[in-house]
Amino acid sequence: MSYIQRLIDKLRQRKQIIPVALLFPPLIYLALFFFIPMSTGFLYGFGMIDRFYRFTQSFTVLHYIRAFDYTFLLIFSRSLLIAGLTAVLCFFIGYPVAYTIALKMRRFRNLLMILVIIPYWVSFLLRIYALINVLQFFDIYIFSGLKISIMGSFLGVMTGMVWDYLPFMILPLYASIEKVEVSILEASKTLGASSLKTYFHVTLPLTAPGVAAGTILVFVPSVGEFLIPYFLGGVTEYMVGNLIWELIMKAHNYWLGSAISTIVLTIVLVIVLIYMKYGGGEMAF
Amino acid sequence: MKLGDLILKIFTLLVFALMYGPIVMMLAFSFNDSNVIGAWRGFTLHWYYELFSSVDIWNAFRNSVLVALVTAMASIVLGTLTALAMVRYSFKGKNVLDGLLYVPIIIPEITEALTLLLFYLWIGWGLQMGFATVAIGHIAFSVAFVFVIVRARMAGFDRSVEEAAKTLGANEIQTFFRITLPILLPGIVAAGLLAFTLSFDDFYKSVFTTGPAFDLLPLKIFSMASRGGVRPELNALATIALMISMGFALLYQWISKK
Amino acid sequence: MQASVELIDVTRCFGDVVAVNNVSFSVRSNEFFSLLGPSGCGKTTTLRIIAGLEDPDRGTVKLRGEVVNDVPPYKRRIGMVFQHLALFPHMNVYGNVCFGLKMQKFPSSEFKSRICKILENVDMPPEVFIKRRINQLSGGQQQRVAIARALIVEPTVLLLDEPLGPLDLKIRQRMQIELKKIQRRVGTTFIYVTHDQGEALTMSDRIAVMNEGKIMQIGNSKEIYMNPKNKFVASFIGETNFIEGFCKSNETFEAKDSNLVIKADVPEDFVKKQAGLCIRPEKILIGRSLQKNENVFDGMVEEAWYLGSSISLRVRLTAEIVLKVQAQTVDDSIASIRLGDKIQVRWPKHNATVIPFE
Repeated sequence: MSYIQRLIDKLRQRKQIIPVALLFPPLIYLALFFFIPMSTGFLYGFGMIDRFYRFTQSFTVLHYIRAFDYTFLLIFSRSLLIAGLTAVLCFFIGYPVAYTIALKMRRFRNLLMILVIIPYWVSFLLRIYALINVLQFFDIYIFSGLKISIMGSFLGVMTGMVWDYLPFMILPLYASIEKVEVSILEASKTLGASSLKTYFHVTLPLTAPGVAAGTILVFVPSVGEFLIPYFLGGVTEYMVGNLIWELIMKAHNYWLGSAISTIVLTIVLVIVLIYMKYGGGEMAF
Repeated sequence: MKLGDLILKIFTLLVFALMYGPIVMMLAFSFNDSNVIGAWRGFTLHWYYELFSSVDIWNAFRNSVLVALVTAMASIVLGTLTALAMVRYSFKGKNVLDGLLYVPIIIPEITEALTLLLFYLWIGWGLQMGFATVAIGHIAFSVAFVFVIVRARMAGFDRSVEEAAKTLGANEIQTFFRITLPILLPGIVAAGLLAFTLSFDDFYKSVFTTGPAFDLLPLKIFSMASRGGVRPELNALATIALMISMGFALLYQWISKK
Repeated sequence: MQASVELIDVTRCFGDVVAVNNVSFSVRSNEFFSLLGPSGCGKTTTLRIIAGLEDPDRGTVKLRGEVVNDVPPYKRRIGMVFQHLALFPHMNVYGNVCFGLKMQKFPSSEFKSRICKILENVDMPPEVFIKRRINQLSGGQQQRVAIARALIVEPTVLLLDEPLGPLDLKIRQRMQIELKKIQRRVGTTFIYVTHDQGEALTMSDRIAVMNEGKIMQIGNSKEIYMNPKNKFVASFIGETNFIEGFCKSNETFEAKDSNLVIKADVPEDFVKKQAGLCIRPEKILIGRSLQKNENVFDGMVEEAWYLGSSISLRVRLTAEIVLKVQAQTVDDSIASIRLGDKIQVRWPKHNATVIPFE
């Protein structure tokens, strides 16, 4: 102990050393097992690693060109659309709920918010499975022999997406609504604004950060979603996540899969960067 | 009560009912004395017995717990070190590092899982995939989460307590272990809970980086659901996993208050 | 007698800001010494330099006659009471108070007795308080625990950083008396930082007035109040009147921009120089004069506030000179002075101080 302390006394003179020393283990670990793998993905996508998993000197954009093939583009855009639709629906359902809990049900809000937070802690897979329990019953029989199911349909996928991601929209919204001082809303009312007008001109703008945070939290993971279209969707609901899954698990085409994954990642990062520039702030846990 | 308020409240309660309905149903039918979900035949613990006597499932469960424990412990250490360095000191490249540390949090899970697999293949670990490869990936991901949580806790930390300890004769090491760490402990434990849960529930990274001999609970659930659809024994398994998760969530809330 | 604490030309900068600018002073053993000044004057930084929590850019810090510049805080044998107390939240009273004993390796057999003694010294009966958790104590009680914790290790000097700030007025006044008593009882040197001049004047043996990182004056309460050495000290402590002007001789002071000639005690080095004249409002008397060494002037009352036991006036002597006057309402003639009255003001020449021109 005292040896270490003498060392520290010496180091006190050179203050830059301490943070570097502290960071050393985590940084080494992350560099090795996070950042290098991320770049490995790059290398595969550009064909710089061959089928024997050795580093080659060759560079090709072939895989990326293949990624922009018509079918793949279709799947990309469908994924973006579904993710966007999910975010929008979650907003329209989630905002009233967050608003009500924050402002209209004050006595119960701790209990209700715990109920909102619990899904964060439950595995996605489990929640989808629970949903399937229910959705499998929704078969509508039209005439004899003609059946429309929710399972395996667009409606099924959208139901799953919204149901799964709703808590992720509610929590950030709640957090920012809760921060609005009630006296501001009351002031607005005394100045002549009706409840509706107060909502649009005061409450909504003030809660914009929460809206942005919630949208990101829903949209970004939705783009790469695999489990929901897998269990609840049919062929026409095939998304980027399913594509990557099949390429990796079935076809073992790591190169094309990598290229596609990188493209998705880039789009996601761009969106997040735009958000950080115009929305700003950290995500609170 | 105004009409608008009433509508809002009813709407909210409806949403909550829908949110938890499927879960309640899954829970209920795990006790159903029937092979088929839908018609209630009677109460039974039969499916839970089947679970407890299944070697496969115990195996997967045990593996998941092991990986989660290792992940939690390692990411607590690494994440706390990072938080200490980032909060207390300033140095070149700090902002860049801060941004980089958010990447694991926002990145799509499937992308991250993929890169881990590709990395392992590249360095020649392709045939030895199992506990180590899974745990390593989980830790890499959790460190960022632990960092964010511990850092948030440290924001409210009053440094003068450390200065007081120093004026009373405690050197840096004594101050850290007797004063700083005990005060930060609830935050660190809470972060550890989160890391454990993320690892225990993890699907994508696990499925991509595990080997044939090393099964994990989420993977087992996935394969059972893919093959047979909705089944009561799967309901039982899912219910148990759910209860564990809910317990952790409540534990986290309780610890966060301290 | 060796100084307890000595600072020699200590300087500390934060970026472009010079927080502590060539500060030198020495504090004697058993002295209650205050650093007094407005926010941002450098008093807290100076205190932290003495503690070892900040390092000076230049200068020497000595404790008990030894240079301690390179000695870390945990080896300096000082005690410190922080502004927000910094009590350890995860320990109870016992844990907090004996922490120093543990760290500085006092024999554990003496812990109990030492703790009980110090708690009694700060008026906290040990039987009642020793197991209490910090958050169960009132503000005043937490104060005492913080003081006990710092004093128990018998430091050379106790450093206090505005410890009474967050307390209610009544409690604060009581604590001021308590602190002074404790200091006398225990006999440790106290260095006390505050922005409250009343506090400093009441409690201190000597005061160092600081402004913008520099020491403006050091002296006991009476010296600081009666003989301020510059404009800052004169105006920071209590109320004062300033007249700018020129020292014609060692007995006369001529006010600027007017023909007012004032009899004053001009020190040798101020003769034939520009200077300021400083008179406290309560040192100006009202009414006719019979003394030869007094200044007498006619003036008109521009403002008058009746305060019960005294009356506060603004009296205009010339176009440029208005004096604040504070007079006890000894009799009706004074108590009934009104706006617009013409009165005579006077003061003996030794009631005014000559200070440098700024």
